Amino acid sequence: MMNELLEKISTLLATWPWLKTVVFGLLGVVGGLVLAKVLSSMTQNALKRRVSAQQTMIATRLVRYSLTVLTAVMALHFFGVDLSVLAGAAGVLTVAIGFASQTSASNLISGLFLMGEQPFVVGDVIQIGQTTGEVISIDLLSIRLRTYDNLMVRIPNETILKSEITNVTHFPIRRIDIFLGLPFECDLSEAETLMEAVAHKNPRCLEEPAPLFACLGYGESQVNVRFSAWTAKENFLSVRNQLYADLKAALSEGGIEFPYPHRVVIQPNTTQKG
Amino acid sequence: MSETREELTTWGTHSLGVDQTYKWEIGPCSLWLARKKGEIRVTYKSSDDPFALTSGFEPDAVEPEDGKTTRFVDEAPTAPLSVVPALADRAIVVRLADLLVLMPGQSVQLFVGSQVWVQVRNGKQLLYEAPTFELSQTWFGADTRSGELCYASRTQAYLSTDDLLVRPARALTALTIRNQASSALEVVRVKVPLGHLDLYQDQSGRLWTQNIRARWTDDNDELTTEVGDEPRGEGKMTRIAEPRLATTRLRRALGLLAGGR
Repeated sequence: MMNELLEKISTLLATWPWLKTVVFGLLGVVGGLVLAKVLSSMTQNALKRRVSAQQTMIATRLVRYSLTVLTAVMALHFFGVDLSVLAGAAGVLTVAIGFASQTSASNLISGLFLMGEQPFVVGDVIQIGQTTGEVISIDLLSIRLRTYDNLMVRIPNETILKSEITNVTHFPIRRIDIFLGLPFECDLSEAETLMEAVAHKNPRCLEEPAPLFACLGYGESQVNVRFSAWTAKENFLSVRNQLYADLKAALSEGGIEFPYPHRVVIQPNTTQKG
Repeated sequence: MSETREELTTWGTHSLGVDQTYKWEIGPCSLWLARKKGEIRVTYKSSDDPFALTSGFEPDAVEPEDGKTTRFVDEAPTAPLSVVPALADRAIVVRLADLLVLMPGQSVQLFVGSQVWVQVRNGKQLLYEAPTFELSQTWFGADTRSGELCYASRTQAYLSTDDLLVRPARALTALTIRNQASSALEVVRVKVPLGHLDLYQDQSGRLWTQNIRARWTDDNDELTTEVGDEPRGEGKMTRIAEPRLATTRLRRALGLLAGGR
């Protein structure tokens, strides 16, 4: 049965010679695309444990697109298409595409620079302009952030490269700064002792670097101070909230109340008779 | 099958029947272990005093309402449970109350205490663990960019164990520092890498870790340390826990922070 099938195919190909070209050409295209997929998968598996996720993605896509273009060129050559004609058109097309895609190209190149410099990685929380969020992906042309209120923000790589970025979670510990005002009549050393006791009592406030109490200057109705304590980055929000509450309670218990803005009004004596 | 009070007050494996509740007092920590139908309940409470000497046991206890309870599925109601100590899951940093200076050629042995963790195990499987007292965290490193998150010890380093009480919730580490440099060494604070140490118990019930040896030479910016031998306590030493972190049997370089004058 197999022999009969092969005989029928041979007859068919002899009858229509162009069919042979088409069949082999298509087989070549399919084979090339399959090879591109297989090699890109192999590249992904080989790299994913060695380099970062975005570098793996770039390498995988490079392999796949290169092989796909190569397959297309070879298929066109096999089908007898004169590629020198294409070369001329490609030159014109390149200029046109270049002008049209200069922003994309800039984003792409910016992305490569960002990958090399690595100011942040997926999972970091960054602040750029007015936007603060967790980096959920770093792609070829842009990055994506998830804000704290669960919005997705897409920022082009070119913008990232040109902007000031604050990586909130880069270092393992962070300092919590609490600014408050104390009444003028307050004993500052006593306030300092109370606040330091609050920090020492909280096990998630680091013993070292030690908490810091600093006077920032005299305000209109108060002495401006800053109390700083360090904590592990993952505890930042919860410890900060706890410190606000505990400091207020400790100061109140110590007889130190936050001052209200106040004015001294001097009224002239209007009862004097002439 | 009930155990005697004496057997139950020690660390180790215990038989706990269904609808039985045992209570342990381990220093500042109180632990209730209850077996109900299909579940094991572990309730934990800790007091404010890390140096508490309380050590006791109470069979037929009642779980408190204000404790922190964790429940586990129990598929083997007759399987015994182990209540054992373990060293902390991070290194501990001891800041010496007074500066200690070692002149060239001198050495000193310091004894440093650390809070232990209590573990409940079902065979080899760890069900539950908690510190006997929640320690303050601290940072150990040359700057705030690189370093290690550790626990801060609330004790100073001692030169002798003569006056030290046996505390059920604390383990002692003997740390020998040798100054082999040509300048004096100021020991400011000491990091004890508990994750790399075995835990032992002597016959008086005191918990010990492996010894640590440290050298300061002219070639290094920081002390070179290595895990030493078994500790020497009262009577025979029994190893009761292995290091949390896998380490080789070769020299293990760890770190201490000190400054040369």
